[in-house]
Amino acid sequence: MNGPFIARLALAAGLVVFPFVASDYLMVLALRVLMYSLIVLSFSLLVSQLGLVSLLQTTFAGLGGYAVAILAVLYGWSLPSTLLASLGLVLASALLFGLISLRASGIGFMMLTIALGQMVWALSFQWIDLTKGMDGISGVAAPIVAGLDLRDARQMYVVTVIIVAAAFTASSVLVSSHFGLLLRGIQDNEPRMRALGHPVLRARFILFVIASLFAGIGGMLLTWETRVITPVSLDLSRAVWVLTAAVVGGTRSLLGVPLGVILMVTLEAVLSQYTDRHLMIFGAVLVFSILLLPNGIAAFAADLWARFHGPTRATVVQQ
Amino acid sequence: MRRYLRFQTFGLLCAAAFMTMPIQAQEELRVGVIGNLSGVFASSGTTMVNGVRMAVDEAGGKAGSLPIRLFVVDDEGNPELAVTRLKAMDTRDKVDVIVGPVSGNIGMAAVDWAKESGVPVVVAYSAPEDITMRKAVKNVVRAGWSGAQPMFAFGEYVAKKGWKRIVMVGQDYVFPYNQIGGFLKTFCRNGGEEVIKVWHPLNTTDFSSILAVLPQADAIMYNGAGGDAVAFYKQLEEFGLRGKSPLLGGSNFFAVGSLPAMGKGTVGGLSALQYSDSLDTPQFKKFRDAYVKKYNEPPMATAEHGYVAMNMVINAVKAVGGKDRAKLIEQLRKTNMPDAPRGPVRLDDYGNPIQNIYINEVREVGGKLLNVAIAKIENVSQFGPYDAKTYLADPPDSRDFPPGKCSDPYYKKK
Amino acid sequence: MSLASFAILTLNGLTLAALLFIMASGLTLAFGLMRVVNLAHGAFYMLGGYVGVAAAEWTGSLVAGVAAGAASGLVAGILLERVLLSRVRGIELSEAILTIAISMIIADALLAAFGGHPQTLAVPAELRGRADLGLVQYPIFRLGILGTAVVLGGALGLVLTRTALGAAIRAGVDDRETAESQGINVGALFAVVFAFASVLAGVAGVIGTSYLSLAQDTGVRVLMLSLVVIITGGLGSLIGAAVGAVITGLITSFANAFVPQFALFFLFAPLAAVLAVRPQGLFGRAQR
Repeated sequence: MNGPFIARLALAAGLVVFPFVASDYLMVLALRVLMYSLIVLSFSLLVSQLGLVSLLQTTFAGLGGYAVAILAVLYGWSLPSTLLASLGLVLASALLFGLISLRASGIGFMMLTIALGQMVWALSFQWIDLTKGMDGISGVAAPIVAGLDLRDARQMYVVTVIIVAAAFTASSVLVSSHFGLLLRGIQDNEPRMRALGHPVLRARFILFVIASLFAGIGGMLLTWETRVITPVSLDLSRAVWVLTAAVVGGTRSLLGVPLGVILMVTLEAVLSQYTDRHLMIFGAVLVFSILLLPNGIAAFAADLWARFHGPTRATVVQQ
Repeated sequence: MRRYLRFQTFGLLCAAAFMTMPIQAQEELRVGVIGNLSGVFASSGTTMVNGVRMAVDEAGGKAGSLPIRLFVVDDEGNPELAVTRLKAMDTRDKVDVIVGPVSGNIGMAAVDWAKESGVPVVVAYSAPEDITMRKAVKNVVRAGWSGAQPMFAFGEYVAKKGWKRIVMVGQDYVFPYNQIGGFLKTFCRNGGEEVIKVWHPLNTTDFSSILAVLPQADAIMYNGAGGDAVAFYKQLEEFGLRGKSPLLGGSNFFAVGSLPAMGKGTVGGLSALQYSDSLDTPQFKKFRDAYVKKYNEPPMATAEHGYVAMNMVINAVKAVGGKDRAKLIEQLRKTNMPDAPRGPVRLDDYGNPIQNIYINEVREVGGKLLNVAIAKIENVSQFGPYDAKTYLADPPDSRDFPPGKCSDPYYKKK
Repeated sequence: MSLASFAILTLNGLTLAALLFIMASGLTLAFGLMRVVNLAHGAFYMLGGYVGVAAAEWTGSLVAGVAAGAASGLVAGILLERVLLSRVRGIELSEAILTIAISMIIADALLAAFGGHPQTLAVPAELRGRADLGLVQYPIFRLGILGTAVVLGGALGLVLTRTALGAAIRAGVDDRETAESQGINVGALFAVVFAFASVLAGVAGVIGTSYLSLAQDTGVRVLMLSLVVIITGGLGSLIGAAVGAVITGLITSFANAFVPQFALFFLFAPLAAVLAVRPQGLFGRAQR
């Protein structure tokens, strides 16, 4: 039994025990952390594996949320059709946006994602007949799935934690697989990979679509949890929140995703209570975070661990 | 040294995580206050909270024998975040009642949350009519208004002034739809001919293009508020269109907080609201003077609404003799305040105020630009001249409903 | 549509383009040199606006207001670059987040200092009113903004093409490594260009507020428009900034008049189209 295995076991045990010991308030925060982790994971995968900074992940989340809201609340569709159609919409958008943007890279790619995201945002408050404009759609009730009523926080937790664990496991497998190597090779030296005959564009597409599905599912869960979706969810500031969570948590390992999200959600929950100047303090915390922990919290924590316990396989293999 | 700083930062970040512990409940009245304290509507939210605080101070910090503890939270204009913060105030702070919010879409999300959680909510300023109509819930009442409520009187007033053809430039979302909806329903039935509707998306900065092709009319109305409204007005002046015809506004167009930026050219502008910056009653003057003394500027409507909302809670707690939830809700729904600063306020069966509506004119009073009430219509409900059943039988307001042309068959009924 | 309306819509578009060019010119050169996009640029516009408007009101002088706006932009730009950005040089994500964090801090500080009510600049009486251009009458101040941008563009163009400083900047934008190996201190150049861009943002904030209103979200809106301009035009290219500004300004103006409901969509669609076909923008260099 080595270190990482015990750590994972402890984590799993913690996640299982959590709903029984946590207060209602912690459940609210935990659900938010889990759901945003899906969205931040989608962002982090694109950055770490392909070096692509995509500000479209919250757009995919928003599209998923709007789809379930419109289909279930406004048209009364059943759950299976709603799920299928919503995921289909996210998939189709990912293909369309990917087609437009994936041939670019670096800043060009990022700006394209900003432009596309802003177009979808504009549509969300201007296509009033479909989306109800600025007021958005409220009263989006979570469904009942396999006997679990997701309107109850703890039952929603069960479903959410299973989905999130599956997503992280899949991501971990992907990162350490040949496909992951290919992706990082493309990030390192695209012309060489192309010259070697690797399908560069196809590989980017595959990761982009997988990431978009993670984000879309995260958005759907959030909409069920808060019962509302508005154009604000598609705002650029939400994409910036995700970017910040990923970078502050650290993009060198998947652990950075939950750490970053926990920090952001905690700051969000705590600061507003005590001061009107919470946004200023939030900005200041970000500044110090970037200056003092430039590789993110996860990398810093891993360094600490290595200092006390000697290097492990995880800390030795650095990019 | 840098390593030490890193440890500090890391430690602080961990400590932040522990500050999420829930508070123990004691015998006090816990009031959660939520509004836009940042972002483009920050002035509305902060003034609403000012009004709440003033009400608490005046009551000596107590509702009856219960000390009042306020939990003030920013919704940042984001309904998803607002729901999370409302849930936090319920589960962590164990609030007994919520006062707020201010924005329309936050209001819609809040009433839905209130339905699920059962927490009593006094909506301070949010104006979507469905909050106290199609989506009304027992534990939600309003201290404010619905979008159409002040406009019924305004439509009649404008038609009777002989301005038969109006061109309206408005922000393209539901609240302005409700406003022009209420206006049209009485305008067309009192001799009006047409309202030409020009909708623009929120976040329009430059109206010069719209103004360049603006149709001729007897009067111009701007149906919107905030930065867009101020920009519209400045550009109206810039292009020399201000003096050419009377200027009408939606209820928030001439909000007293925006008037200094718009300037003296606004004098003569007309609008309608359940509040005015200058009323001749002792209760208004008392409120106004106290607010000016404390905050150094005339109170906006949002301030008075926060004040009234908090007083509704205080009065209800006093009448019930405690904070029992079911009794509190019942008492809130029976609210009757004959001496609110704006005039008498009592709630209808749906939880919305029946109150005075004032036709306001912008005037310069003592060097300041204020909305002065030039006409008063009493006992106006959210349904205007209609009864609930008739009103609700109509389709909800949209870009094209009610129709802009008064000759439309819709206006032949009733 | 009458000829007069067409003329006004064109002039509206060009004056917006002028304001955007003032914002975008420095921003694009700064990117060209060090590949840094200052996402606090919109916050600098707001800072210049609030400070400038307050100064103009207090002294009664428009010139004082513009000077105050310029000064506040300068100070903010120097502080951001020297104290913060220089520490994370080259790490693009960190640079981006730092500038975002600073824009949050500035916006909140302005809210605390000036309150949330929208602001406008009181234009002095001599400059109010409209000029008679034969076909139409057009506000004098807006023509002034147009003139300012043209003069600025001309001056910058001259500096870039006829001075040693300009040559150094062009070399740095073209190929940073080679320029440095020739002895050009690109880091110092960047600091100068960054400071200059921040001054321009501050000035734009004051003169823009003469007809646009200034509120808490103005910074983000202006930043978004500036980004559209520099990306369409091509990052690092001054001509690109000019062309991009004109395209963006004209599209915004005409779309607002004819399809106001979808105006925002029409703003971004050409950008997406240009980028999909030519990712480096109209006048930009292909990615290294």
